[in-house]
Amino acid sequence: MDPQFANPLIHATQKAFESLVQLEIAFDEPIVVASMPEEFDVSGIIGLSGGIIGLFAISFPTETAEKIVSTFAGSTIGISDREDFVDAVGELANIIMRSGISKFGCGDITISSPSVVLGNHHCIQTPSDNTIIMVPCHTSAGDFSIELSIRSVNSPSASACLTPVAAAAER
Amino acid sequence: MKVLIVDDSKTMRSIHRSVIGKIGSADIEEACDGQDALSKASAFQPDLILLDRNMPNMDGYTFLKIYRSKGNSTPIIMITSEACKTSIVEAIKAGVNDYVVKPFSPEKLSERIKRILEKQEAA
Repeated sequence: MDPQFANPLIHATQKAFESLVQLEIAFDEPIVVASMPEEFDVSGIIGLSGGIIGLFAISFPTETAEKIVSTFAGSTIGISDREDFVDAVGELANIIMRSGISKFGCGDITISSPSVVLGNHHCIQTPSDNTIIMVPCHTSAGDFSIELSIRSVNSPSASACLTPVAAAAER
Repeated sequence: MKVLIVDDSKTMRSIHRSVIGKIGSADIEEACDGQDALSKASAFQPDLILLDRNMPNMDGYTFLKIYRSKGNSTPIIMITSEACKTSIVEAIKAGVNDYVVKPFSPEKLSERIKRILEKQEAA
């Protein structure tokens, strides 16, 4: 799968950070990786079904997550403020995924309520035959990444989904 | 000004509260889903409602239909990540006054609120 398939989420992440978090963000090129990254401490996860089956995750080191959600929420939120912290990380993941969803061109995609995983260097395990696309992200608050783990793209026009042209043109 | 904020995310309610606070003094009530909003709107009688679309228990669209069916004309701004035309048209037909797509800048939401309030004052 072409890693550029993740372009709608890159665009959505950029929009979310520039408007709601008010942080400039830079991205490395999306890359296909063998497994989900294990260097992060906080992940907001959205399950995907329908047009795409898999999951979307946004993963941070703790300190970066604290800085970003505090800017997002407009008040200082640390990981110890568990309920507020989890709500903010989940909402950020939710906004990015919902914003990017229509740009995949894969028909109806149903998304789950966000889940948030906390734990130093945690591992999000997805089926071994999933394709995982990771996009390293850089902000003044720290580095983090967005990941798309895809089991299948269920669409009559699946080939169109895998063509990055439309999404890339939008950036 | 009395504003009812309806969103299942505490973070988003806090962001909306901050935007409203910068516009002027307001009496603010919060609800975490459509069901909660129906009971709070009835008691609180808001001048403006900021309404999320996707919420558990009762979503914003269902709230909107029920609220309008009871003859309530309070302006409602729907705030949602759903940017597709079908969703927007559906919400406008159901009686929403404005539609703000997430992610939005606080300035954008502020402008939309002011516009609604100005219309209300002029009416």
